[in-house]
Amino acid sequence: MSYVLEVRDLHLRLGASHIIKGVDLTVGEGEAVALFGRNGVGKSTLMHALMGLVRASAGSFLLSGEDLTGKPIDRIARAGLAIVPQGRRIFPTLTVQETLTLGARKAAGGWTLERVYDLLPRLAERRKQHVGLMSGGEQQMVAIGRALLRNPKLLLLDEPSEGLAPRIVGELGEVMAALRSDGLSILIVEQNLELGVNLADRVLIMDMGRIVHESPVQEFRDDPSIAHRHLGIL
Amino acid sequence: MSDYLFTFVNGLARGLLLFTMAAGLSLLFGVMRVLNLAHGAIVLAGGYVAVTLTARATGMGLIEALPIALVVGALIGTALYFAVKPLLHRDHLDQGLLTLGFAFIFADIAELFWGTQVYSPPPPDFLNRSIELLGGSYPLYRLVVVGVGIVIAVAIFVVFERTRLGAILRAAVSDREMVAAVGFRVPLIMGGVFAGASALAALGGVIGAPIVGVRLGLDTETLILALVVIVIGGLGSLKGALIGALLVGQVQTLGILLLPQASAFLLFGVMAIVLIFKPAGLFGETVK
Repeated sequence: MSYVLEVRDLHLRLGASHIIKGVDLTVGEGEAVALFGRNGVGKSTLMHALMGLVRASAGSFLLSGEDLTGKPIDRIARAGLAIVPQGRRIFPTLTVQETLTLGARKAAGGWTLERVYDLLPRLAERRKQHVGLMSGGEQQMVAIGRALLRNPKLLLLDEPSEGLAPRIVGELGEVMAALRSDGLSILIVEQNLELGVNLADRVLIMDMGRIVHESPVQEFRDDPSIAHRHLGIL
Repeated sequence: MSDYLFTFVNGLARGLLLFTMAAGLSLLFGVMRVLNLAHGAIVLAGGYVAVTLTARATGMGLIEALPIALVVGALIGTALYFAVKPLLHRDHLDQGLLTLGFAFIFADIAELFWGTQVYSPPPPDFLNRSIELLGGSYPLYRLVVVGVGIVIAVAIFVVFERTRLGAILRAAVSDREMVAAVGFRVPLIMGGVFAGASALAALGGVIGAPIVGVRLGLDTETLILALVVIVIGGLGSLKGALIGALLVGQVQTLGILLLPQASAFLLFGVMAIVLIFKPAGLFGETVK
């Protein structure tokens, strides 16, 4: 299996704190990997480091074999990484359509504006609306559409269900399932284990800046003691 | 009655000229959160480009000087961007001090080259006459300035609200990292905004030259007026800058007609009144 993402011994220090302490991980072509962990163990920081939003202190990561360590955000984006960031970070003064087409690029993946509107019909209805005036769930869909139109080699989803009503989380799960069956490679950080487990092929658990567990999703599902041990969930 | 009407048109011309001069300052503040106190110096630089090209060179007119001034303004803006770049994440005081320093240096250099006299390059010949306006005669050039100001205001709004470039700029206002995360080279956008804002300032200097006179001191005068304009309008709001400039134009010309002794005070009085009722300016977002 060829890897879309290879992270090798990545470290990140912020001031005196050593947040990521030597992470190795891979995401295969067409694979969906879920990264779980308690609050503050470094999951989002790892996502930020991959996107270039913060700079890793040591180690390296490769996207389809291309070393992107220490590269600026836009360079990483053009290499084929897209992020649905924590907190959505949409552009409130742009309309839905402006947001979606802003960074649209043609690449393998085949996501076009029409396909995104097919997947997320509510956005099609509101294409002229300013994103800042939309509900949290709709904004999350805009953030997903924005990332999809980059036609990324790997999609980073950073806590997509955070702050959404249960009904919307269900919709989100359906959208993510559609992305997966489309063959998109995904790395997702989620607190909602069910959402992550339903999407992923493989599960990683992070604790204190390290990957402490790795298994196929089935093993994680079958053995509740894994979640209990690492995540403190009964 | 016609006195008042002329004063109104004068105020309109002054206001739109001021908008041209202040829009760049507002744009820089709005898109980049940069306080550029060298903005007035760039307006004056545009004026000096016009003076130099029309007076000393091969009989160029104001219109031929304009594109050159735009290029000079854009180049100054680009240089300024690289100078300010290390301070982009610092607060406005640091940025203000640095750019004010550049403004002082520019003023000294300008004095070496152009001295302290007032230059008034003539308007282009075909505009250098008066026309009949509502039973009186009125300088055509001022009406042209009104027209140019309106065109610039409309162009800025159309670009900002209706084009892809405008969408990129609006996105950059709210989240530059995410603009980079969808593939844009943000430094290029930022440098472009600096260049564009400065070219606009230089344009203001050129078209204003025949009206206000190009002289040392125009830089600080313009800077202060432009600051008043964007404070009244709301920091970073282009709509606010337009309304603020039109208001300041009227206050200034009406003030000179009605209360000549208090006209300088009137301007700041109006600003104070606006700020009492709208602390963030007429179209400003609430200060976070």
